[in-house]
Amino acid sequence: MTAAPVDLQQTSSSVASRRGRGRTVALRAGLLPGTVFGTNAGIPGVTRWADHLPLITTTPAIEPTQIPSIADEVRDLRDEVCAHGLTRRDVARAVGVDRRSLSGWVSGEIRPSADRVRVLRSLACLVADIAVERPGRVRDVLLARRGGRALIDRVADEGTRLLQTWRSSIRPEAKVSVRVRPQNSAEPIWAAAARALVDGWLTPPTWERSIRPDATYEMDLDEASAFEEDEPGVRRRSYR
Amino acid sequence: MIPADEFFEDDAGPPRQGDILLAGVARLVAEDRYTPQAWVSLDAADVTVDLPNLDDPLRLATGPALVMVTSHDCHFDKEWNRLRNSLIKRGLDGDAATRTADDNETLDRTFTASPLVIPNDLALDRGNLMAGRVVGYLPVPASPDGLVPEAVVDLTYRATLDRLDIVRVTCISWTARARLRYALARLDSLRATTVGFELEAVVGRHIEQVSFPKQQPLSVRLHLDDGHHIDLLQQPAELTDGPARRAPGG
Repeated sequence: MTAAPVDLQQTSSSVASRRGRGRTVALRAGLLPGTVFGTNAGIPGVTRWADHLPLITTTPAIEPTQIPSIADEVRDLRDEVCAHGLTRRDVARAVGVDRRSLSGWVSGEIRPSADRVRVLRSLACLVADIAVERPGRVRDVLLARRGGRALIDRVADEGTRLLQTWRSSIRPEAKVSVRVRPQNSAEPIWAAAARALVDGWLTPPTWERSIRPDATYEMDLDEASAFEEDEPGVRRRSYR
Repeated sequence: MIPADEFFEDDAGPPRQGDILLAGVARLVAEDRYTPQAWVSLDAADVTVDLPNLDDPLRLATGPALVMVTSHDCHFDKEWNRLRNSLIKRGLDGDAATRTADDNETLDRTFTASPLVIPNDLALDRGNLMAGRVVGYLPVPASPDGLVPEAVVDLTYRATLDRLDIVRVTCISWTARARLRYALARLDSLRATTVGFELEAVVGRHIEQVSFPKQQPLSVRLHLDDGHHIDLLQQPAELTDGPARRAPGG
């Protein structure tokens, strides 16, 4: 029995757990030390080497078809992120590629580098984290720009470190503060009316409407010439 | 200034231009929260709103105030009339269209108003101010019921209010409203009126005809017997053939 290529650098517990029991066991066993990812073309030698490693495990054997391909994983991660309101263009931006490359990864036409996939996993983790605290606002948080770069543009550089820092780097929810100004001792101009309101003497106006002809609300801007100003006495100061 | 008994009127009916209300006012302020001396009494509280995706917070100065409605009466029926007319054009009869429009509480909710301020808070000559000679201000006498002290309406401060969030203190007379309209026109539109004439040139002439030039709605043209004419600025006032008032609920 041979094992299919598996990314051992996968660290996202959420991703691992949703792959199913066979996948989780394989990761815990640590059977394939080293990456089998490479550039878009992959690393054929490593893959062949990995293909011939025996799967040392007491768990039920894993059929190659049960282990998702990189394309499947990329698609799952992308869809997971997009489910929180991000567009595919946003995902491509976070990973640092164009949208066509991202589509190529999903279709299997292009093989992403391990670094790119790691960024994608970091993005998924970050999105899941933000969604817990800011449900429905994930995209706003990621695209918010305060001083430096938007959070989405920092995923590639900072990866999962952002899980610890994203809260402090974004603007908090709308916040309102009120400060009452000190007033002089004189009674305000509205004080008597406010007392009358409390005593029930004041009421809102009624809602009686008036039927008016359309012409009431129409105008002809050609008549504006009657309001042309002439300011002969005004001398403008020049700026030097 | 008009005496109080000629200035105020009984409080009744729908909102009208010139009504004096108890309401809140607000304006946006800069980071140093500067308040002109005239508005210190209006700025009872500072509100700061930090919005996501906005680098600079919104800063408002706000407080309760007595305000005078500056929107014209027809403004309070604008959307209502528009909806009613469109319903009639779509085939509803007048009564049904009126009822449907009446049921819509979102129509004509907002209007503008200017706050009343204490004359002594303004760095202006009190005599000129209370005589109504300063553009931007309308003098208001103290009301007999004591709810409105002697003040001036500061027309340079305009706040947008919601008609469901006000109470009316008093109404004003037709004469007082005409003065308000004139003051608004002078402030917003007619800062440099060109209407005028040489007195010497018209002494001894006879007025043969009076007309109201369509292209100059605020002027009256006097045609003299020598073929010349002079233009006078007419006092803004309510049209005599005004809108047909409906009884409440009618």
